[in-house]
Amino acid sequence: MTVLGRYLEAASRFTAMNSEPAFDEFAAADGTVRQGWSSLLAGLEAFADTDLLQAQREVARLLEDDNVTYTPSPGSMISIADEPNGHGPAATPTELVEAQPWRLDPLPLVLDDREWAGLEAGLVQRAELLDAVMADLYGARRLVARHHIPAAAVFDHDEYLRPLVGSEAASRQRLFLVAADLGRDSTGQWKVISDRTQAPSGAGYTMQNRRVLSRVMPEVYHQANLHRLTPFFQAMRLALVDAAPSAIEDPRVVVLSPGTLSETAFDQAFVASLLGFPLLEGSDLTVRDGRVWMRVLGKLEEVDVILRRVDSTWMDALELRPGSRLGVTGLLECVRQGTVSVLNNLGSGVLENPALMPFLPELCERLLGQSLRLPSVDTWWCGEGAALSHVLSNMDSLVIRPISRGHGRSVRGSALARRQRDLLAEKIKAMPHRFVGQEVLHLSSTPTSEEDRLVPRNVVVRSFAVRSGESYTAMLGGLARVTDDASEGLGVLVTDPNSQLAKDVWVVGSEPVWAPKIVARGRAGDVSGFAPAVSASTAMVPRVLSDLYWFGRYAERAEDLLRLLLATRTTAIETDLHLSQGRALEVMLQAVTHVSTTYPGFFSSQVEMSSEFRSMLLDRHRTGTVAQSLAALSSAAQGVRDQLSEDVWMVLAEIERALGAVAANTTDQGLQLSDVSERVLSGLLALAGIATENMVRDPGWYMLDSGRGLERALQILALLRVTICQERTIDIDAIVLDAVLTAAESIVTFRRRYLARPGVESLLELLVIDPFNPRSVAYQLNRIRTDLRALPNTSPTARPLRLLDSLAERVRTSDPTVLAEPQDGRRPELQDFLVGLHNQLRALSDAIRDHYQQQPPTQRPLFRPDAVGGAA
Amino acid sequence: MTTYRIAHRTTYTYDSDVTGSFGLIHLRPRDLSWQTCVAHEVGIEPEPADLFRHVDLYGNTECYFHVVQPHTRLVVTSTSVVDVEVNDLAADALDLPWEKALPRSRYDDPEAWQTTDFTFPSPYVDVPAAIQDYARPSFPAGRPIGEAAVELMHRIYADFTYKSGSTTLSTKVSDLLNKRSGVCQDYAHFMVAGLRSLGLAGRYVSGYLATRPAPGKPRQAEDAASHAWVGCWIPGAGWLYLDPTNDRIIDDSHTTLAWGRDYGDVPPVKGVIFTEAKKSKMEVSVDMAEV
Repeated sequence: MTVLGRYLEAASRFTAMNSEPAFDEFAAADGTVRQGWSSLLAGLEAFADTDLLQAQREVARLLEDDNVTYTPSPGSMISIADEPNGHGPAATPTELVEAQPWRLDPLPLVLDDREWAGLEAGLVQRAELLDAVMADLYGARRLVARHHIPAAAVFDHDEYLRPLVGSEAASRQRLFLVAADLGRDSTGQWKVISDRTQAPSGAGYTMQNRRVLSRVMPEVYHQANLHRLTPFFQAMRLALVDAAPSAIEDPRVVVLSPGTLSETAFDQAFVASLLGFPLLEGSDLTVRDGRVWMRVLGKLEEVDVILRRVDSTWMDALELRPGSRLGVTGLLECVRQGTVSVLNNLGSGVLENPALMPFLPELCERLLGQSLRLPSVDTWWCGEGAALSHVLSNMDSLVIRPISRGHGRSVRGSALARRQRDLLAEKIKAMPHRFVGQEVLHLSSTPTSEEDRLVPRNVVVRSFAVRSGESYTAMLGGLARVTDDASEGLGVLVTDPNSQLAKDVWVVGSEPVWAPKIVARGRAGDVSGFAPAVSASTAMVPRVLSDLYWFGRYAERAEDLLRLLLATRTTAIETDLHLSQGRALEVMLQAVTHVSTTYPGFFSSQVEMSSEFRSMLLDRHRTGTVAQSLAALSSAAQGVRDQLSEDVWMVLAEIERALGAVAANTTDQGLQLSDVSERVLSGLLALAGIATENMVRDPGWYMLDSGRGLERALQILALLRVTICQERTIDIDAIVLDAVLTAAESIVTFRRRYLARPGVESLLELLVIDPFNPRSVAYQLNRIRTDLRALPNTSPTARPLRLLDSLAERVRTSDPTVLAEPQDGRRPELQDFLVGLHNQLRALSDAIRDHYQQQPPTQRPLFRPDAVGGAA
Repeated sequence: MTTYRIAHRTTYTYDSDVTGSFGLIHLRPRDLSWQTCVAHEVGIEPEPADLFRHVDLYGNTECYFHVVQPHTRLVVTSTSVVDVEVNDLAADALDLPWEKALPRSRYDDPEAWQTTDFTFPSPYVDVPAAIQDYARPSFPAGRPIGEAAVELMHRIYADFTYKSGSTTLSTKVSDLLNKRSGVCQDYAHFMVAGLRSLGLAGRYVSGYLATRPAPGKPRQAEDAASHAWVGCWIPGAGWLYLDPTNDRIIDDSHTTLAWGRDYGDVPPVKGVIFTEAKKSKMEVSVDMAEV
């Protein structure tokens, strides 16, 4: 019997045994397979039987390769039943949480397109309804004035933004993107559990899930009459362009992200690159002349549409949350002036409001003249006396939700201890209008992989609708989430945003679906669809340039240190054979510590070589290690995800896996360490290759390349300074020079060229002065010059270029013979020369920062008077 | 009727350049049945690149400005001429039992829905349970709203000590319950919280108070200052304005600038600056002369 067959059998047995009716997405009550699944059955059975475990591993690997993550927000873990200070979960909102890998089940949730059509109509209608409600709440406010919506549910909602009420320009803007979390009750009826209107996340994850499944199960994927996601993103792109405030031919649209540490940073970056719009942060934008501009090298460019992933209240430090740096100061005035469209409309979070749910059927009749197609879960708004008593006397069977999301996570009454429940009841009684009670849906189940079996798991689907002309277009698919821990049981899904497993939602037809054949982008295959060009100016935003510059610097730093570690290890092995030359090894070990600034390192008498090497490779919390450079590299890459090829993530994932393997092996004596170092090094070489071969030569690339060149020059100088400024015996020097040249990847040339005089002088010639050796300092200076000159806003007299001129002059006029001349066993002139170059290079780096990566000055309140004062 | 000429000048100085200043000001006296703004002028130095004016949700005039010229000194001046009369509320409206003045109990009143906005906690006015315990004794069942609200004002005036510097903008109503001292904003926020704790609509009013010079003495410039007081909604009659800092119903020495849920909705001047300056200084002068 097949895995799916066993699931089917178990499901019918379960249904027979269970007194409460349950709805399974796959197995119908009569023991047959539901429509939608049936057409895929053969393929799915073969897939599930082949190796379900292998499929799960494959999914995990593909997600890792694309660095698909989700960062749980500690703030969102605090529930409405937690007392402030104590009794709540340990996490505090200030605590930094690491990004978690995105988890996806290989088996999709399949829905028949005829069934979906009904749902789709409901979603579109709901979006139209919410849009109409929004327009009224920020416009005429008739619904509140006439008591169709209770005033308390709006006026005491955290997201009702008074500065925008009555703004004519703002009221012309339609709600752009609406999401709804849907669950199915035991009769099979879909119901909305919550509306998402603030800045809905998940569309990007949905596309990513689809990409992964298309590669894990290509046969099933291609055989299925599967509706594609691409048209949704095309509609989204069109709607963004349409939303521009005036008839501008080619409006500038940007995606505004709160930054790489935000919960759904991946989703934001992925949507931005799918749409082909730049991913920016608040500091990249500024307000001038009553409109919003993007800061690019030496100038400002107009911004017409902002797709925001920042919550409204953070969008303007002047009129909304003081001190916020996530938004754009002065933005509200621009919105009022009608010079920029912000999507979703500022203040749209007021619709994420379960208190509205009981009123939606009537509102739908009133505003759209239609009956509400898609019901919400039964909801009691405690602001009404009868509902309040119902909720208080039925807390055990309800989910208690605050009307504003910021007030805490929802809880199931039955999950609370008696004391917590009493406290919550008191809270509700004190401010009843701030709470609702909601029916706990007996959610439907769907087959989900657990090791080599399929087990039923409860499912919630997030669906999306985007503005399209005068109405909305729904995504033909969605983001499903199942709870993967059977013991958590029902209800977890609606209250706990974490600990979830995603599922792709497949809407399938009985007929082949017309799929537009558009040239694919990247490795993604036919699921990626269109490939709009990202405007080159994104690569000129100072923050982006800074991230790319440091991407180059950290990649080079990690690479150079690895080479040094490997060369030093080779020295160690060789000197083991010639014990008398142990001094050479000491020089190299200390060089490692010096160059990486990981003091005390090898200067400490207790240090053991292989454990120190291990730490240099693996300890990401120790400044100067390979691991730390890699972490910094990865964090720089996060900030410019839309600028980098997806291959970058694959390489970084591979490096992580290599490091993970050696970290797990604590008994390693050094053999695996070398092996892993080689693997990490080849990863870094691949990264350099991607930059050289696959990246468009835009300002971002030049900045990245100049960072690489500058770091390489710094590393060479640092290494030379601590290895060759002292005179040693010929046999020790021979080993040290060998190691230095190996670390500088120039040993082959050196041997070939300087066979006759293999000394310090020759080494200086090759590693510092030779403009043709791609590992020399002189070469880096030329490279940086070429890079900077390719950047806009760079006059020949710009400070970075002047510094470069002086550096190059110093190198060109140096005399290696004189520099290499020892005096009393030392080379003081050489020392001065190298230190001088090193310092000038650092000054150059500062000049590059000031010239190209300048962030705006610090933003602060005009003045925070202790008091206005007053008359007694 | 009294006519005032008011000059309100706020000067900010910094120890190094400010490259951009965004500001939002609420300095235009409102036009009301008992008050007319005859003339009003705003001056900003350096000259702002943008200066826009609009009317907010509560009918206050707001002015947005953006200075882009680097500066170490920013001066915001507002000069207004305003006619003020004593605002007499119909006495019988004040006789309404206070329970009938709760917006949520007045579905019949066309203004009730809007006044609901002033019944909830707001960013600068928390409404802890203890504030209700404080306010409640003034509101026995059925007591006329005017009498009850005035008594609450008397009690706050009696219980509080006026003390500048004892509180900050982040001082909460729950802190004031213990502190029992503060400046006019604190008095106003505290009283607003007391009204809201009972379900009444309480509004924060920003304005000026002209102190009357002692008989025979000329008026001094420092006799005037920014001031704050409280409005309480009286169905059918409008709002009863009470000045708990001075224990009196407002009269023609009070000039109304703007109102909102609390100070945060209507600060005379607020703004955001871009600078690396470490130090800043603010000076305010209000000159209010009868003309």
